[in-house]
Amino acid sequence: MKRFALDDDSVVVIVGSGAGGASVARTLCRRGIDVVMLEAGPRLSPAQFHQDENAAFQQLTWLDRRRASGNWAAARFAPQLPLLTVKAVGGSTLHWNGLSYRLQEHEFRPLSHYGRVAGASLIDWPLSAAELAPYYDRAEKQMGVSGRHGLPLTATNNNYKVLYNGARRVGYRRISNAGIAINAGPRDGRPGCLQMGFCNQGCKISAKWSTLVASIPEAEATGKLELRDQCMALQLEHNDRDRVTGVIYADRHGRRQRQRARLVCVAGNAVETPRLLFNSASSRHPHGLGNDSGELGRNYMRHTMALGFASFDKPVNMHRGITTPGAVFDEAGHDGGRGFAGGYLIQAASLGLPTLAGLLQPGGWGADYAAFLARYKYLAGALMNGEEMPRRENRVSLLDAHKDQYGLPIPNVHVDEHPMSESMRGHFHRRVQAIYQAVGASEYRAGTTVAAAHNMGTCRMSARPEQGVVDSYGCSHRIGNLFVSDGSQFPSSGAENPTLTIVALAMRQADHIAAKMIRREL
Amino acid sequence: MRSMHKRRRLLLKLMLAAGLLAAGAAVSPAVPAAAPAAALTRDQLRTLAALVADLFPHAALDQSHYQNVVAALTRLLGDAGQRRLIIAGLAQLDGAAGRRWRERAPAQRLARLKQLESAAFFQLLRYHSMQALYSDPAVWALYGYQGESLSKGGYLQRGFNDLDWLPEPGVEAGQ
Repeated sequence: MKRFALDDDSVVVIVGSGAGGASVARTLCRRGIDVVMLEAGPRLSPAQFHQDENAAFQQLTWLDRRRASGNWAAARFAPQLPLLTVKAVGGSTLHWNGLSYRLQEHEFRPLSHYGRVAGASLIDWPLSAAELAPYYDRAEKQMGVSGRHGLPLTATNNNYKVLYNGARRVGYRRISNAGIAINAGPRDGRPGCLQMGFCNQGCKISAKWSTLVASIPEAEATGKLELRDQCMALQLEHNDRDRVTGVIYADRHGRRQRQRARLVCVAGNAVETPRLLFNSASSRHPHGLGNDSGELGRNYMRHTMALGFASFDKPVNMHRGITTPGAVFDEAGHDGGRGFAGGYLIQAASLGLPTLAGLLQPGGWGADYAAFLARYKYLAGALMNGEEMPRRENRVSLLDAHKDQYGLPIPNVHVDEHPMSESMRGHFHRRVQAIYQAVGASEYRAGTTVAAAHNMGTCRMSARPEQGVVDSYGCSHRIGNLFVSDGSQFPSSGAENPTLTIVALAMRQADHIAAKMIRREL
Repeated sequence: MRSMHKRRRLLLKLMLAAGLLAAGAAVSPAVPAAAPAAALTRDQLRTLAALVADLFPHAALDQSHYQNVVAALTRLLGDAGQRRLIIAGLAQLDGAAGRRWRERAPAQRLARLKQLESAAFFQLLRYHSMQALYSDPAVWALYGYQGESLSKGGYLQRGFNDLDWLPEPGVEAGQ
């Protein structure tokens, strides 16, 4: 394996090995650029993954201390575990379900399209759908997204069949199982899906795309990547010309190291990315590195989520097969008449019995609750993934009084939901109840997602430097060789799952970096 | 080893504080291994079993399923703070009315549990009972959750699309 010296200042250092970091690395390496990648978690083999919800949670989840505040469910039910992200090589591409949908054209200009929304900090993206389209194409081909570019569809399962038929009967017409980064048959050195039903726990056969089994080995094959796992980035260093010069990190033995760098890309997910920049504050950057605007850590967004489950007279067996096998897109657009800005997707989604017991009704107990769980074999499930309004007050900040294992202040994640989130949930539940009743459901239950799996904002891109942290390429408005490469860049969440957009933005960023390096501008 | 132990303790505290679950994943009961079986009296154990059945009543389950849960709960006693909480909680259930918990009428027990819902011992026992009960393969078997599937080749040849009471989905553009 390639090794670079700690004092080699010609390398690009990438913090994080998930969708953003690994996609930048793969593109740079294939352009002949040397990369050192730091990943806080261990490098696991897919054979080590667990088809057991509890064991997989323990194995994959980022469990370092965090706090939650505000009016969101995590502050109430999981105040020390508000996010569901992964600490391992591959990042959250290990537990994602492969849903790979493009943002809609209007979602790149939410302020223009929705108009001003009171209590929200909307801005338009500094790039258009057309500008990102070629990168979406590249990302879909590289990830093997089903139903795109001539790739076959994955087979549909029982849970999808229920949602599909119910949706048709209530008049929905845009229902599809296309757009999933799971192999229908063997492709790209990985096998076809066996419909095992544990997408969320790390796919043991690698039919599902992740950076662990695709981008990272592809980058390593170039001989240009050194991946250092179990290395936690602690601080970025800079000089008095506002250039980043290196990364201080704790290696797998807990020893502090300094890797010099020509350029740094940060992709630690929307909490760890701003946290690293806050922890890199200096006399020149007293409020965090590159935080001239004061927007660092702010405008944190999740997607607005909800779960709906229905009980039928005949078996469904929702756990068999792909966890999220397809979605209804008829509510994805913006329609001011519904009482909220933006739209949502209705995704068929299954949970195993242990997880369902926790999310059906957090804190739940009693005869009624138990009786619904006992219907497990007869249940169908759906998940809402909807646009969440950004708010300046929703933010990641540091709690100086509470230190982590490295002696650094732990992050607090504050969310006071915009009232539109609850309006959207109400709309979703009315629609999904109607869908399931149309195919004979006898009972409908609203479930609650607690921790946030989709995390965005906190270093948002903006045309005007005072409104964000980075430009449309993810480059810091202040520091020319500092990039943000993950979902932290998003100015708005859209209604679609974030990974495909993270990968497309990362490829665009990497092309931009490579072109500048060739021109000797970086 | 030490850091693993610390991690477990942390997780335990998380769950204590939270009573919780995260989107798409369950937290497993991470409890100290040492389980002093004799730490509870026979009466206390019977009250505990009755409480678990009150919280998650299932006609299809028998004593053995609930005993598995009680066994998981007794492992919580390895932590001194939790031990105090549980023993005081059981005393509260048994003591107040002069009659033992399990001898009181079901409606009376239910009303009392509703009052106790926010008590720390209630939340601790509710959370770990839920975790243990619905993570038990013997319970899964009764309700149709099939667990691990790779060893049997997934469901590709075993019914992932065997639902026969609705038509097959068509192929549409979607997005």
